[in-house]
Amino acid sequence: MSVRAHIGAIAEALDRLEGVAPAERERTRHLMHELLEAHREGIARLIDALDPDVARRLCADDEIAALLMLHGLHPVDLRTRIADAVGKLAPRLAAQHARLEVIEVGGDGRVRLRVEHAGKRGTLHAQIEEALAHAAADAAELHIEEVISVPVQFDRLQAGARR
Amino acid sequence: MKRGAIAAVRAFASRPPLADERCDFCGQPLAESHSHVIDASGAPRCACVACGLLFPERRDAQYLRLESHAERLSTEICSEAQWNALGVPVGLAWLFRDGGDGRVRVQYPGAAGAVEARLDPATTPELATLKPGVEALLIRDFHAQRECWRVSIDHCWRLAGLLRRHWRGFDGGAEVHARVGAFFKALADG
Repeated sequence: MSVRAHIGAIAEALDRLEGVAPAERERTRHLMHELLEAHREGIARLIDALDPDVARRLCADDEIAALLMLHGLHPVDLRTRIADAVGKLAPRLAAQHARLEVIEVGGDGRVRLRVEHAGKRGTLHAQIEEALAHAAADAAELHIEEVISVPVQFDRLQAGARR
Repeated sequence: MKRGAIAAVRAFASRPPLADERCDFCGQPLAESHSHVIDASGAPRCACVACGLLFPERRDAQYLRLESHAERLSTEICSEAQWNALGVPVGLAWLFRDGGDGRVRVQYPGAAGAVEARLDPATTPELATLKPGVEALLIRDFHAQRECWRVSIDHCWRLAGLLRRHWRGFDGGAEVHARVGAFFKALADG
């Protein structure tokens, strides 16, 4: 099972914990906290011992990246990773007459994006989700606002004014 | 892995655990004032008032309920020279006899938690009368004025917990000093 599959399984187990007695939840939290902290401390030391370039290269492996994100140890911060992913996606979106910008990356991991397109939504949302699925796997939530701009009609209006 | 899984696990595990604020016997949340029980190995357990009543105060029992008490002693118990001889770098220390070997131990707060030192038992005669593992001599040296207390050891655990939670940086910071002040005021008010 992959790192990400394990993390997914932990998140599901946490969902099921919603119904148990608070004392049990607290015990589980305590256990998880200590367990993750023990690993985080150790991994942080490993990362510190590495050349920063090596650490960044290791993160090309999505599984290693996910592990470091879990511990808040990814060498590139969330804001930068999102900006990079959005930059890489830009030419593909431009070919579809769409433009994506980052509005906000909250400290709580909530990300707000705005996509501007010419009225054809198509699979834009899925493409954005996919582009950010790995690079920003630690974002709590992606909120995509939509702005529909119709530059073609604007051009026609201008043409009409000239006539 | 679904979107948000990493964030959900991090949010759950990063919230500070409250495990030390629950009854060790029934898991109910503990009030600020609660009972303490010592197990056969001398390790402390926190108990809610209802669970605490289940345990006797007898010494031979598996679990021993601590009867909480605090008595202010004359400052002569610990002279300036004796305090200096302890070599405690901060203005707070508690001394107690080990429940196992009966030797005197001194603990004082530090940035990384309570620091412990062994001590020559002849330092102050008052120590010989402390019930091993149950009572402590608590000394505060504050603005060159000493306060000496004979307390049940649960007061020291409470103080250690308070220091652990609120100690910041090298000297503890303003908050921990205010809380220690409130702790001693509460001891004085009974």
